[in-house]
Amino acid sequence: MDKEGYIVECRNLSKKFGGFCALNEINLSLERGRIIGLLGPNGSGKTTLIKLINGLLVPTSGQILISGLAPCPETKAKVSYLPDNNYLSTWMNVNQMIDYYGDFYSDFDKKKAYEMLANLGLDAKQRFKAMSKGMKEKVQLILVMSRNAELYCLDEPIGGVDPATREYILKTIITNYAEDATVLISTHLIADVEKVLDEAIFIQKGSVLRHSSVEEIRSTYGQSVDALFREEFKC
Amino acid sequence: MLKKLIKHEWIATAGRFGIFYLILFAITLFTALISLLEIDSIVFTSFQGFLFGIYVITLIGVWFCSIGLIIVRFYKNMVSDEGYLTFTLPAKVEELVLAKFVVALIWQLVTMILIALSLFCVMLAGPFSMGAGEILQILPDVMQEAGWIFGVLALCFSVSAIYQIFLYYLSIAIGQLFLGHKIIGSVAGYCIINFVVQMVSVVFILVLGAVVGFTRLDAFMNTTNGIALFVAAECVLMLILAAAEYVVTCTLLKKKLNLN
Repeated sequence: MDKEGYIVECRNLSKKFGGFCALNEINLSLERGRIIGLLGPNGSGKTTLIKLINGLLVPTSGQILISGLAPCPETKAKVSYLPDNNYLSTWMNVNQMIDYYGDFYSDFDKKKAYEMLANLGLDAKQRFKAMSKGMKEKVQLILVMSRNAELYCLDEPIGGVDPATREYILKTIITNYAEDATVLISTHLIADVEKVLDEAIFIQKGSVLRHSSVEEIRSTYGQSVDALFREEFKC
Repeated sequence: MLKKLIKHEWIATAGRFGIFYLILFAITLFTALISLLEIDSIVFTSFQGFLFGIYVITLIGVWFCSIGLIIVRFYKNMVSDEGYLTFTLPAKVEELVLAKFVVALIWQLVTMILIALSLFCVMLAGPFSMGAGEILQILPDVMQEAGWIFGVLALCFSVSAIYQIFLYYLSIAIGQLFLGHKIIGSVAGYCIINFVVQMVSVVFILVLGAVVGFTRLDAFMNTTNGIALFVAAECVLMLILAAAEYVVTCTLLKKKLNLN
């Protein structure tokens, strides 16, 4: 793959917090147009890597490039990020947040956002203060997936919702992202996510153990990604 | 991008400041109207005094609430969960901080002006109501002779507001470095910075006194030129400190952001 084609490149990327090494000299290249699972147990470095991609953390050493650039306002315009927290302002309602996104992101599709809201039966006039945790997570996902971004970073998108909503979220992810965009899904619920993945990255204690296509894993090891994960990360 | 950030900062803060100003307007109107009444009764006079006390407390409350809102807004939107959205907007950190500062400064100045106007109205209605007509007649002459004093006061308030706002922001930027103790860290940061600035000011005056001579300095400071020079020097120092606070705040938020 021509290097210009990579949406994310990590070159000897390390991140330390005091004496703790969260990421240890990671070398990784993510191709465009792929759905990639970032799989690892709690504390393995998944969120740290995603935060580095989004410019929320600065590398201790090494380099991270998004479409050839270090994280900056230009890369933030290309990356759509769903964090593992609720970041919505409680005083706003859904309409106001849609206007907010539309104002700052030129690739935001308001029509798509309202369609998804209607499909989920959510009221656009409702304030976030009055919403349940699950409803807020759905709204956050809608906002993120309504952008025509080059890279979607979804940190535990199905962690806190019921199984029916998980199905809907996964369907939303695969039907709403732009064709040549990359979706990076960080999760430890691999069985649910495996069916949508093209590639899997196994990460543990800040190091990448494996990066291959899901097909390759199945043909080489004769088992699902979930089964291989359970084997490799057995307690 | 800065214009959009300022626009959304207005939208986010206008509601709450509007409520403070409505309260201020209501209490001013009520107090002024009650002050205009002349009822010869101990009970009524006591009530007027009590109401005036409530009025003063409300003024102080509006002032401190406006400062509190500026601090809480920056804290919530930058270093708590909302920061995940704020810092992933396609904008530079300098623009994010500057947008908040511009809107905060305007609210501070508007609050100061409205409190001053409120006091003026209540004073005219109350203790100085007998001479209200005369006061308004001589006001233009007073402004011509000594209006510069009001100008200097306004300048001092404005520069002080600029310095204080960036001091709050820097304190919060320092506080967010301490995982799990962001608020305590912010308060500690505020106290330490204030202490350091006070020490620098004392050292500056001691050095100036040693160079110029303390007796001459004391005599000079009692002249109009001396006061003007002192005020100008203070303003310049506060602006330099404010600029430094802005730079350090942006650097900390760029390199050491801690949103957990």
